[in-house]
Amino acid sequence: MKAGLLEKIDDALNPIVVKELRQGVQSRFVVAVLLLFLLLQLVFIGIFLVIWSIGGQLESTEFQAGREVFSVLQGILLATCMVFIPAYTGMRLGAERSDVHVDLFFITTLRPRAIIAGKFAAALMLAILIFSACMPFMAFTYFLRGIDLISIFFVIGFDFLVVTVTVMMAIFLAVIPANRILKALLGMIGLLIGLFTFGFALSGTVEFMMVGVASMLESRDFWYGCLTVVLWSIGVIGLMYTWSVGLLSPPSANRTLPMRLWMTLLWLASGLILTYFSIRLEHDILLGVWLFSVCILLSLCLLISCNERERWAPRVARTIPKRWWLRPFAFLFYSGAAGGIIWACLLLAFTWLAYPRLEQLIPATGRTRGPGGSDMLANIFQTMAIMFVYVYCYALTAIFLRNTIFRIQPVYTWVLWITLVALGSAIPFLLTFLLLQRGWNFAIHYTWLLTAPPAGMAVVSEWRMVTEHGTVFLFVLTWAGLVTLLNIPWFFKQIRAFRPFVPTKTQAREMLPDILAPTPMEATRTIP
Amino acid sequence: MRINVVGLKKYFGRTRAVDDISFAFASGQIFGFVGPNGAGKTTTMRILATLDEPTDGDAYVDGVSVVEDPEKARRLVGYVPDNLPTHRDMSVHDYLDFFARAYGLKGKHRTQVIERIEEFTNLTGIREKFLVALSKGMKQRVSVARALLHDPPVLVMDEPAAGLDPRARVELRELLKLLSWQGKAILISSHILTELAEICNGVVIIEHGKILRAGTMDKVLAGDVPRRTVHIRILERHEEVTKHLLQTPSVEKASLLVDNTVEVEVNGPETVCCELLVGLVQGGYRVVEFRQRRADLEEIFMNVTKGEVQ
Repeated sequence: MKAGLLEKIDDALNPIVVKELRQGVQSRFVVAVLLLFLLLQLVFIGIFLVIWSIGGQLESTEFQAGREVFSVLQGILLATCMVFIPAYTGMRLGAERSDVHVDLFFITTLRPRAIIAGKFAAALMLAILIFSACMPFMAFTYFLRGIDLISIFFVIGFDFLVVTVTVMMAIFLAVIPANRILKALLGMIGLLIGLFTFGFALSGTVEFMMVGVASMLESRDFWYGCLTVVLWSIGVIGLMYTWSVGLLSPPSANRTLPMRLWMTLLWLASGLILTYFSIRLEHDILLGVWLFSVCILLSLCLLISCNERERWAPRVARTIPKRWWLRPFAFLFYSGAAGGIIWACLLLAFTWLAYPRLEQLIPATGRTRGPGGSDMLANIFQTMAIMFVYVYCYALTAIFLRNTIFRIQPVYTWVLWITLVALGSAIPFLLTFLLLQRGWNFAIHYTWLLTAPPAGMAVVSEWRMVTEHGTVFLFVLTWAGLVTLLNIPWFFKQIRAFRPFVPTKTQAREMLPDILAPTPMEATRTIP
Repeated sequence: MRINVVGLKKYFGRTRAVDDISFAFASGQIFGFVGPNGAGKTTTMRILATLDEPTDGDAYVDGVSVVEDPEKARRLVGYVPDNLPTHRDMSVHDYLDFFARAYGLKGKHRTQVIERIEEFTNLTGIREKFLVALSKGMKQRVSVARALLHDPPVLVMDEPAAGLDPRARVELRELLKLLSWQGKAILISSHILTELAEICNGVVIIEHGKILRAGTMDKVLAGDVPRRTVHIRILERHEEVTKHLLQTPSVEKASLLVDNTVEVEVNGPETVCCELLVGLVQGGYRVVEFRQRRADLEEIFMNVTKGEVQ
């Protein structure tokens, strides 16, 4: 009975997890890091204890060294988990990604989502192993006074959350298809983000240790803050997970479907939860965080969408709903440039419509005021929305130029987009500088720079230029309208092409000439 | 079980990697897939293994379309790529166990399957060895073992003999014969044409994504070639027959060999050889032996391909 249960558990395990853990256990590198980690912890605690013992501080009633020792141990733990585990997971996945291994995974029953989930779970198990090895040392610091057990476990939990996000980020960076140079660059970016997160996590937890988490447990702000961080982490992990799955999937797959579904869910759930938190806290800061994040993510999604396919090959087309009323929804979520752009615009439009109503739910006293008494929330939203419209204008301009003049493949639209943004931003600045030189004044000559997204955003974010806001909005909306009109045939072509696959070639197999007569199979036996 | 490739096309931008190819083969047959580098062999094989999607056309494995039903089709195909397993910190047994799990084999059945495959592919003795420590021949065996785990009726093998030493090549050849005897349909690409000719029932010669020759090995080897070599042995008048042959319009070259056999190179189809024999008999020459030397696969390959890369 017991063996049967174990067997069932063994069978239910993700094969990637089993493979990764077996490799981890057999890896000399992993064993060496674990031993080194334990040695460092022991050495540091030993050194501290010896120094204090020699100085006679251990007997003093004033002695409170727990916090300092804990900080050092936490630093070692975080450095190990935020450098070693993401690097180990990322490098292993990166190597498999650039070789034929991932192809071999695909011809089994494994799906890209299982591969990413397996890598993530295996990395977390490795993290749990290191955290477990560290916990006794960290719990021991309680006896050195100056830190309470609740703070210890709270900080460890917080650290684990940070490591989780970092690991997912490493997986995301590792699945980006790139050559060795770009991979090295991505590794550097990952390392920089890791270092930044390391610093943020260490400095953040110092505050908790100074005040003591136990004293904050009664505070509503503390719990809402914690929940926001947890939700934000789940959101980011989910986003990077769906992006990784999309990147790992073969080109013939419906790559962006999980990403768009997750993003829509995240938009809705985070909007509702953060608005609820804002109402309860009677402060609009969390709503501002939501608006800011949503605009950035939707701009990014729009930019990704403009590089996507314009036709659906049979493998994706066979999953397009046959019911006509389901097809418009599927069009928005399926891999495809036009659908992705419309989907991003719709989400931003819903945000725009919801924003005034959400703001009214927060009492006037809870609204953050900027310089000159301006409404900070409105200011943030307008600035970020303008950024989105700029991304849209440049994306559709790039698509129009790509389809009419440059004739490049859709997958390279981002190159054209970047070039246009660079030209649109640099040329007006150079021109105004050359023509006006010392007479140049941003408040007066800003209209020269309207094609530059930073200038447009700067005007909208500046409370002293309220009267000029209209000019920026008029310019970008006219531009958006114009490029939309120019691309209408492109949009309609894709909408018309979004039809379920009808097999027409099934009879062809009968028509094939008989090149070889089948061999009699009397002697056939199969293995195993 | 039959594998039909019907009007398969795969374009990468303007490059036509595979351009409307059709062929078929069945259970128990080894089918060679031959062509210069960049001819479209790997692309076709990847499509058969459901790894790539064709631009047009389809391939059917036992009637299952690789385009319409890739999930079902991939259960019927075992794919051996030209790259060999190189996972770090992983033993042969762990590697096979991982793929057996990935193919959905469960519990004791999985253990039994792995043990049988290890035995069949002669890996039992090295099952605990790390993959990175294996020789190329051993890695190739592991690769074949991996492809056999889910007992696919079709094996698609991309350059399995590349870089193998003679002994490993012989072992692989024997393994393929055994698999074919067991009823597997095998599509194999290779540049070692002499070996292919020995084990294959049929062959497809491809260049620039187009089929140049396809069919049973006999049919391809006996197919239209611009030049044929015929060996003729006459009882007497050897010098005279050589001169006589040189006066025949279709004969390009005739030379008397040391054993008094005349080697003749003729241009044109097989009917020209018939006419040559009729002419000799009518000329009163007593023909003891008249034998057309069959071109081998390598000769056919060199004759029909141009060796240009797209």
